[in-house]
Amino acid sequence: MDSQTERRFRFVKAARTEEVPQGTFKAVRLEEFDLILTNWEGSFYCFRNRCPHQHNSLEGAKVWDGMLECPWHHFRYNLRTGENLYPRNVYPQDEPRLQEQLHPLDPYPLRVIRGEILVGLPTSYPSDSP
Amino acid sequence: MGKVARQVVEQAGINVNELIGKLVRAASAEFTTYYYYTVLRVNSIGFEGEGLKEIIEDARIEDRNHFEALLPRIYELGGALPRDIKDFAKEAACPDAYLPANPQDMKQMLSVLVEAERCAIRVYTEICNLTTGKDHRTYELALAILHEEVEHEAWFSEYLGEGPSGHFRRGAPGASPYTGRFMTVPK
Ligand code: FES
Ligand SMILES: [Fe+2]
Repeated sequence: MDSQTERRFRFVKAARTEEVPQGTFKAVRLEEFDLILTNWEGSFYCFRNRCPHQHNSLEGAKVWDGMLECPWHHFRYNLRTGENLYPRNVYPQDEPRLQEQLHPLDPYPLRVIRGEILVGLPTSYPSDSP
Repeated sequence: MGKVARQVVEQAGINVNELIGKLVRAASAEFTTYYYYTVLRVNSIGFEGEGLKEIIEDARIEDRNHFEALLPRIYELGGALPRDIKDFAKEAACPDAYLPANPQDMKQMLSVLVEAERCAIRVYTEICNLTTGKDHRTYELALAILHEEVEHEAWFSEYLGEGPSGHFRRGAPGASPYTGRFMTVPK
């Protein structure tokens, strides 16, 4: 994690690794942030617990092949980047209304230290303001 | 609503409102897919001896059948379809199967079709997993639909050159060999 990230986030304990077994999700609320943790093949990920499609909770989502699949309308996202994969691959590019539905997931930085999952919550410093 | 029909499902430990939500979203996906497949079918005229058009026709009619077969179960459990069709369409369990930018591109057409079927397979697998051993009627219905969605995927992926489907398309268009017995209106 670079020093800029250190400055912009404070890392808060979210769960222990054994609370998020491979292929499962755990919803957590840290301060005012509703988040969801997942584990795919030993790598942990954290996102805002809100699908960018219709803003529903991601509880009940599935994870497979490095993707997160939302339980509501089955949109799929890349776990590493948060990017929409499906229906991006089939929605025609000449339909801006459809393209607008393809926003990415909102990822949070995460660290694992001695079996604890720490999630980076935003910190605002006066010097950060433009 | 069937009072006991709902009660026994609740007593088996299923969150019935959550299940109804899944059934309504599945019904919406069938209804919207029926519409979008109609558009895809009319745009596939003349492709390769019209083989693709005939497969789309089978899948299209069977999706309409799936909508019809799901409907009674939603009401038995105390659910309902939204009053406004726009709300209904927005809730579809799978993304819309839009006509690609270039309908002459067979590969684009097929990827829309095969993705739609794969999504449907996941939807019914989830409903089966949720209801197995608990809500026998919904389970059997979802399983019957799942059988047909699996066949649809195989037909389209065969066309994509992903290997043989292992079964032939329907003798009569949209025959619904598995879901037919759940239909309360004539096929
Ligand atoms: S809300 Fe997640 S796919 Fe629609
Ligand atoms: Fe189908």
